[in-house]
Amino acid sequence: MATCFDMPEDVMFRILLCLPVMSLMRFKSVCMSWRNLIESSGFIAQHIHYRENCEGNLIVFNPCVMVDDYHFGVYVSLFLDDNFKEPAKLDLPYYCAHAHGSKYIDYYDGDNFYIRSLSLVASYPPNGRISLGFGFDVKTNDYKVVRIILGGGDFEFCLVQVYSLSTNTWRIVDTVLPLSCGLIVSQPKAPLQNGTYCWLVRFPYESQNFCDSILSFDFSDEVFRDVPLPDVCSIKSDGRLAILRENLACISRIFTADSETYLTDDTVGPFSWCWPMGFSKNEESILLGNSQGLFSCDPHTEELINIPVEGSFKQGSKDQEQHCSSRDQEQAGKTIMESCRTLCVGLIMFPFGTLYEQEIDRVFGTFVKKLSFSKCSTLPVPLRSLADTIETVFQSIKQFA
Amino acid sequence: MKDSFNPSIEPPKKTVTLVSSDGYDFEVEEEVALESQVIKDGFEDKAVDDREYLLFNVHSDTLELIIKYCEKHVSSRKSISAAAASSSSSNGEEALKEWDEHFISVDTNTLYDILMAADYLNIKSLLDLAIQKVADTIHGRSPEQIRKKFNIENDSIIDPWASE
Repeated sequence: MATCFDMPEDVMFRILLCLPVMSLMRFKSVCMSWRNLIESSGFIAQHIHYRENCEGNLIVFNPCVMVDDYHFGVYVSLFLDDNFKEPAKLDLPYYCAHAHGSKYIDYYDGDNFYIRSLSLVASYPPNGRISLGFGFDVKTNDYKVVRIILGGGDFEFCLVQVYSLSTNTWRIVDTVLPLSCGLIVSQPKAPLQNGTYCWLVRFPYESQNFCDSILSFDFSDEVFRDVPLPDVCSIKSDGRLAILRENLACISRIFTADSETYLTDDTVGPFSWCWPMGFSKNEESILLGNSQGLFSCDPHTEELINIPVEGSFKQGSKDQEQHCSSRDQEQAGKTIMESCRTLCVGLIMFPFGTLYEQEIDRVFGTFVKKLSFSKCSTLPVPLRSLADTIETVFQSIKQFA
Repeated sequence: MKDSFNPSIEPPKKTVTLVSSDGYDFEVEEEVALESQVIKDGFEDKAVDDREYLLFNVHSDTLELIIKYCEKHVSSRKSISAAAASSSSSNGEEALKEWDEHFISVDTNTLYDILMAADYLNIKSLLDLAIQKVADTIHGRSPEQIRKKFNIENDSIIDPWASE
């Protein structure tokens, strides 16, 4: 093979553009010129654009491991495609967090890329809660992390800071949240589209564990906005936001307006509780988690695949940990399969643009009418008809737009 | 079928001559040569009887492959559009993709030669194909293997994992 030196620079540039994030992270240590190229904002911007249509990665953060009394470790599994066979090893230097005082975190975004130890030194109040969002500023081609610190008895204390990768600094953003938050559901890998990041939010004092609103943050303008969830909709705070066909989708176990009972709680056998976690990148299967592990379920074929994540996966962190042998695992798979047939998933989907137009009720109105769901605007769908429902909802959105 | 297609009225094919770096002549149809953006750009300015191109950077072995690729793509495009016109179903694009995949499955040296030639002649689809192939072959390698492969000196003194 000829040397790098007679390879034209633009050809080399384009070869690197084709590489997945994992390879680029490794190849940064090849030489300085590669490192500079890979870290340049021009390359980052093009790479994001180029990779948009490529296969997606699934990252599973599994924060279950107590290292000692004050630190917990996080297992991170990275799946480079949608077959979920074997996770790639992510050699994180460390990922630990301290309950108070200084905090270090490694933040990694699989579709885009960056990994770096961030010093999250912040003095925040006792019982304070930190919510993070990781995003990309499309105007300056810069990676940013936003951190919302809530504290005080009524969560009246609120501090917003933004980290910029290009300057490697944290700074306080002089902004106020548009709503008072009791809980901001922080997911490492939450929807980010066009530089906007979203969280599910619960108001303070709410006795029930339901989310009330969606909080969004625009990484370019550094402005928060909120979009109330429709009245009739009941998204548990373990609900998830996901991108589905370029629309923002909210999935949750559901609760019907009619009966006010969970449809799912008692139907899933000894391994009750099963959380919809997201969608696979090809949007053909839904990811489900429970105390037995993480599973990918294809609504068409009802095929269930156990996703082998690092560490013992304990979604929902129920009180007792269940260690299971391979036989148990097999049994668990069967049980979940059974439960999948009866599991209902609430699905809300709306175009990203409506985040700013406050038209969600109208959009929902359209869905409700078209789909003849007279009473609830979440769509309670048995998992097996989820695929059809997604199609129907998607068509409605298109017609509405 | 409404439209009848009569192959006998086709005009005689115009050809151009491509000369490889080691002095071999290749006579190819005009439309095949025009797959190269470089040839296409200056084509109209050149006199009809002077359509000969000296390709100093392309060896005859590589040129033969390049011509094979261009011929295949020209003929596939025709059959795909013909199928579309008669609205008969065709899996032409998929077949072509498969053909491409097979075409580019070559040893590293040949791949590199194709890549450089595609860049030199500016044949976009072939360049894309070759670039993707190179990326596929290197994506799982270690930095050390990459340095060896591309003959790069390790001048990194900073540990990539070190935090600032």
